[in-house]
Amino acid sequence: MSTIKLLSSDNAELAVDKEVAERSILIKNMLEDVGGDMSDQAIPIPNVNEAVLRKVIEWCEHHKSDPPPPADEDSDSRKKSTDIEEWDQKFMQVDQEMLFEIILAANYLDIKPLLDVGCKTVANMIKGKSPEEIRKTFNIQNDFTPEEEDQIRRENEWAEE
Amino acid sequence: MTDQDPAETDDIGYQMDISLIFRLPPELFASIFSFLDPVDLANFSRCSKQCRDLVLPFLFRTLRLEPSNSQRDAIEPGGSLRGLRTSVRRLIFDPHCFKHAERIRFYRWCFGVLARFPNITSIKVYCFIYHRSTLSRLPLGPDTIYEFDHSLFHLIMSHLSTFPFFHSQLRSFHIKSIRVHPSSDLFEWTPAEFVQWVPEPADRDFLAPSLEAVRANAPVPCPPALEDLTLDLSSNGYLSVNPLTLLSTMRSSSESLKRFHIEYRMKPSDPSYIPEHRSNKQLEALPGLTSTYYSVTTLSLDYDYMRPNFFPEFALRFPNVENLTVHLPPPERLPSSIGYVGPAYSFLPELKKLKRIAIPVRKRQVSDRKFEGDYLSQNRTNQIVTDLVSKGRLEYLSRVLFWSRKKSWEPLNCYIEALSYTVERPGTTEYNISNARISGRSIEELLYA
Repeated sequence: MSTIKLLSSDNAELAVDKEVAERSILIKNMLEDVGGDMSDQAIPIPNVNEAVLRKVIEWCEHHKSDPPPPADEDSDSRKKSTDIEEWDQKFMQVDQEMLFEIILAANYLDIKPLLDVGCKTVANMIKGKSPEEIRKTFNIQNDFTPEEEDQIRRENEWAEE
Repeated sequence: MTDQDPAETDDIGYQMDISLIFRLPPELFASIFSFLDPVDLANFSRCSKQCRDLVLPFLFRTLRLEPSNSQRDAIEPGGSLRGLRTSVRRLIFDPHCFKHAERIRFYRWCFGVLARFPNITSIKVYCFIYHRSTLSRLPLGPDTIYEFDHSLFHLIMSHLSTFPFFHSQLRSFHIKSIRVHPSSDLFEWTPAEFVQWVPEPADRDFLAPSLEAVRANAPVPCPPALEDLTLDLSSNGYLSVNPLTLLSTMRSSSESLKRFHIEYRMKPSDPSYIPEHRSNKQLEALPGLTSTYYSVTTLSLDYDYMRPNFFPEFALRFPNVENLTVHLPPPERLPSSIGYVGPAYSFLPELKKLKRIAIPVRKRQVSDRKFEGDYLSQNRTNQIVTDLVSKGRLEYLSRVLFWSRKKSWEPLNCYIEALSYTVERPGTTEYNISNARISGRSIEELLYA
């Protein structure tokens, strides 16, 4: 099996199986563009540092033989489930810094299933919580005046499922 | 994204004032929000100004229009919700006021702001309809309630049809009538105020074309892409226009419609179910449907005037139904002049494509006003399901629900008691039937579980 090298933003070189790295559509397309052989040259991933890149590779390793995700369905269709498989749940038990970095990396590297797991994890951190609990979870400063809060509560009544 | 250098926050993490979550670009928030319920989106919108800006287009996929000055200000240019233009997909017209002049003005205003929301795919309209005795005092033209109901539907559909979205993308339409009787607590006007009311010229211009169209028997404009239609014309003890009559007046509704839902019920608290001006004879006939709706796959009939001889007509007009829900009023709520009719199971084999059915269980009549227990024993229901799936008749049938309401007058998603059958087909000719007695869930939940 062929191996390729990835160069993180902090100049760490990581060797990865080509098959694993190709979970990233960005890398897959890049390799196709250069005609395959990148064995002697590291691919720079300028937006992702070593720690995050290692996490992302760990995920790609575990999911290397997953079937390709189904094509995007109608975005207007019913709300999607937030169920996450057990291995992914454990994988996402990281601090928020790392969680958001993984999401950003998955977005940049174009790894749709990992991006979904990340977004579901954040959604689950919001689900069922009061505004005050959400603020606490994400360290969000409340910058509304009491009058504005009243107005928002009124306006939100105009939203319906 | 924040303008914070990530390297700076590494050590102190979320001790910082600025939340890390705002490092995510807006398109990733869109993905996160797609996993959340409206109530979670609403809570998130209350956290901070930045949160609210991010979530607003997702929170207001559905916007309920109501006659309030604060809402008017909010969606006007310069208002707090002015940015919702393209994100709103579904509008609800909710007049929730009972003064006639205000309601007419409200509908006029709704149609006035409609052009601001070009991506509408779904509309729900609440209609507050007056009883004939009050209606006759309105200087609006026809003084029968029947005609007025007709004209309201016509009014809404013809005004909607002047917008481009009606012709290209309106997929769902829901009309719900709420009848206001003059003795009702909801009725705020004294008769004197009524008599004094004179419609403005703009009101007359707004109403006149549809009243004329109704009198001329003109067809109701129908959105060409319409897939979901709910006609909920349940009344408060007085008959309103029959939803089937409305359906048959809709031009070309037979081609795209997939899900059709009728609610036509009577409120039992009023002893005068049948108004004097309509005879029982009229109720004994099913309003003629002139088209066959080949595209309809989901049919829900909550129709208080259902009789056994109507079912074959439905089977004929909706031959490709896969999901069928039949509702019948509880027997004690029907006047003796009509008598209680149980579901006519014999029509089911006509619906060859049936996958799921929910049919009501008739209760046994033990005395004049008393009904109890299941009319259909488990042995009997077993036999019915076996008959339906054997003999190769309903080869797609996978779920049968025999149900009864726990309380007599409940909304559609009322909690029910049910006998639920699941049909499994391991081979092409073999099948297994498993049944379970369930209570305390809604029909939809059980049918699609």
